[in-house]
Amino acid sequence: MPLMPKRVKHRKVSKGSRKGFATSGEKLAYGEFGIKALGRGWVTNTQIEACRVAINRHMKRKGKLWVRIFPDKPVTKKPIEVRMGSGKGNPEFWVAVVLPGKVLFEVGGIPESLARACLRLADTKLGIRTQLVSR
Amino acid sequence: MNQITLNAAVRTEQGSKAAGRLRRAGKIPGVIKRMSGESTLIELDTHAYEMTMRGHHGDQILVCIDLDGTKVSALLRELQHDVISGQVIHADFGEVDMGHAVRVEIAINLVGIPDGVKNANGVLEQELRAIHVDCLPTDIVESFDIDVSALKVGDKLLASQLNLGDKYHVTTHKDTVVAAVVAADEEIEVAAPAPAAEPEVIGAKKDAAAPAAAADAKK
Repeated sequence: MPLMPKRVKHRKVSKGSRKGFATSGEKLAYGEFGIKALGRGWVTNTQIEACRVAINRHMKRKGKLWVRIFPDKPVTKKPIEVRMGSGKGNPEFWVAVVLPGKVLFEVGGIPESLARACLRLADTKLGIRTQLVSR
Repeated sequence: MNQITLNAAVRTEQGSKAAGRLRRAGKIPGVIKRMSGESTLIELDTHAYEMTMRGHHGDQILVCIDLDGTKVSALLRELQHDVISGQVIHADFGEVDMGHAVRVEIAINLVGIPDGVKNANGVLEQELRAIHVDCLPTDIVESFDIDVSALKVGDKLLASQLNLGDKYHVTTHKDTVVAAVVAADEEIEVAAPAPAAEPEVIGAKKDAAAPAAAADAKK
């Protein structure tokens, strides 16, 4: 089951704004290490899931992972070879809007070297620049 | 704990633009909340502040502010950081009376490897990073070292179980979990991606939602 909300108010939403900086979720709340976004953009549900799987596999059941973002924004696409017009396309995937400063993933209960390796794997799967942060 | 002395000057300009000018000039805008209820706007030298505070990691630190020759004992109440660079952008101090108890937040530092982590592959989770205590300003420490080596998988350390000594009166709720040892997460195997079901639309009629999705599919 892909990562997405159980209930929504609207099936399709506008593109929205990506202005400004993160005003919430910008500090480590649970773990000892994390990655913070330096850029801005949309992170898809498949990217989040790929990061989660990569981190958990690399940790080998030693630590704990917290995912601090959730894809709650639907993105629509028109089918291929369809002329413009005739309304908005179908919802295709879900994204989380990430602003600079947002902490995306946190890990705890593991040494720093392992945490760095895990979070580097997650960094490579994201489309935005990130930075490792620690307490 | 040795008291830290910070040199500060009274600032007259206030507002975000003036604060921005100060930061560009290598200063940190700050404020001292006086016991009388008034506030004194101050400015600190960024480099001197960073050099003085190097190695101090407490959430609330007792400092002596040399304010144009006048010494003020104050508690570092809050620091604001830039969300990207992490640089200090504002410092908030509160004047304290050295003879009266104050309520402060002191960091908790877990010491030792729990039994459940060493022998049963558990994970130590620190639920509470700082604890609220009432104590005299001279008794403020940067952190409390709490030994967790006896915790087994499933065990929890509560705030009421902390032995901090007679000088400190814990004001955090006694049932608050400080640390716990939990079993490590099982890795969830990712099955083949299921067909992307759409979430339920709040307030939409059930028979009306289905034709809308069907009409979209036809496009």
